[in-house]
Amino acid sequence: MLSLTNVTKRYTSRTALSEISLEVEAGSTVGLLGPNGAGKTTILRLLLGFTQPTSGSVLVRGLEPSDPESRRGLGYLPERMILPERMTVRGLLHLHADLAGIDRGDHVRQADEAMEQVGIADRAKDGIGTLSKGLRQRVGFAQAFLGKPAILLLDEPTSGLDPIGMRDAREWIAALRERGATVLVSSHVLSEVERVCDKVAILNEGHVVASGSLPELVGDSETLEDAFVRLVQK
Amino acid sequence: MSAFTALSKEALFDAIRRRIVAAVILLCLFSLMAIDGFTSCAGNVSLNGEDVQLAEMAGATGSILFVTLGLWIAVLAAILASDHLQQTLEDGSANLSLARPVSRNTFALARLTGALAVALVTGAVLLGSAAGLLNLRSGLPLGPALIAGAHAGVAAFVCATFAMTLSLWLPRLATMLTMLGFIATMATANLMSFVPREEPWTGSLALLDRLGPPLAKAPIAALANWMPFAETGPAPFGSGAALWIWAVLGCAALLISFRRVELGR
Repeated sequence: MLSLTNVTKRYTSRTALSEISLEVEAGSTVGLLGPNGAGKTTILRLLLGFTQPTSGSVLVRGLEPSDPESRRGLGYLPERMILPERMTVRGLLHLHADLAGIDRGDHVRQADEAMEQVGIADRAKDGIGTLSKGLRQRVGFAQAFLGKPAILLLDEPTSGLDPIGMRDAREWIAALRERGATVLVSSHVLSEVERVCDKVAILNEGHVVASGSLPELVGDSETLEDAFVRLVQK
Repeated sequence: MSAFTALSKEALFDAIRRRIVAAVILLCLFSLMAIDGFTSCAGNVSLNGEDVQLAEMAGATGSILFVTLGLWIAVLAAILASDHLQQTLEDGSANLSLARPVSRNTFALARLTGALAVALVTGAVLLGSAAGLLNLRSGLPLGPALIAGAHAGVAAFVCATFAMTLSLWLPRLATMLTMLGFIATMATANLMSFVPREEPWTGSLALLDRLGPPLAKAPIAALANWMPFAETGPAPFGSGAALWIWAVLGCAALLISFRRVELGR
């Protein structure tokens, strides 16, 4: 479903990713773990076509990310949530329904479902500028869930959420897994990834240092944190 | 609603919310008052030692008015476009839209449409009022005014596309200053081309006049039959066509540049 093969990404002064390969199978929930600057967000940006690899191949459902069709049925939650403050929550979701190519007649139902799912149905008419950081993050989730996308790319999804919000977010991701969506979660919160993901790829300094299911990566007497520290400091 | 329509609507709302739009509305009001006064005055002037009724000079003065307003619209379009796309990249709001099945071309053109719409509506009000008053009070025909107005609109489009392209590489202030300098230089070169000369005109301004976008020349040439006594240079079609070529080049520069931009760093 999502595939990076021998991908290198260099910026002028540094190498963000070095010859990495990663496959995300349809219906799986994969966590990208790594310290700051490991290259997690760069992988999401490559999959979204925001940047081009220096070398190697990136495919989303067999399409190059530069093809807008590769993003049809894809939901994205960025780490830094910038939303237009003048719009209402419902207005924003209707705009994204237009951009996502959802039938006009289906906008209201899809927007209502997304708001219901993340617990902001009662804030539909509120201006985004009046919402707290946590509520804005929920609006971000609602726009990502709009139209029940088959692929979700979530970048640090629980940043800005309180403990209840974090628990809710884990439940939403679990619900996505149940309905068969393919989810790629970038995070440095180990407990979050441990609870929601089938597989994990650990990145460090632009390399995938380990990948596989949690039992494959974590030793018998280890926690994920122990394994993460062991692999990153190796 | 198509993605382009939805994004253009958003871009228009963003443009209208800019503080410069309030200043533009004020300037429009002052300009309309000035146009009203300008077209209603009467008197005698002396031209080459002969007394001429001011009404007979209406074509020339009307042309100057028209070209000045046209350049003002181009400046406005450049100012509005100088950060209308760049701002969405800086604050990250472009990322959410471009994570949808929306092409970069669609996004860039929608932002351009939003910025241009404000400039073009302002242009339509100012140039339409000027043409209407000149027609009513001095009997100047509307046809040339329509063509000149269209040329002024294309000139604004050219300036907006280049301002938006430059904004992808330069800071906002540098983009604005570069565009203002460019528009002023082009207008000077275009106007100097109408000065009668015995020798062929050479030099950098002459080269710029021949090769650059005819921002002032195309509207002046379109108004040729408002000024039967003046030498207005090439036929309107020539400079109008050159302006359209520049519009295509500007648009291509914007789309190609935006495709190369790395988002979300």
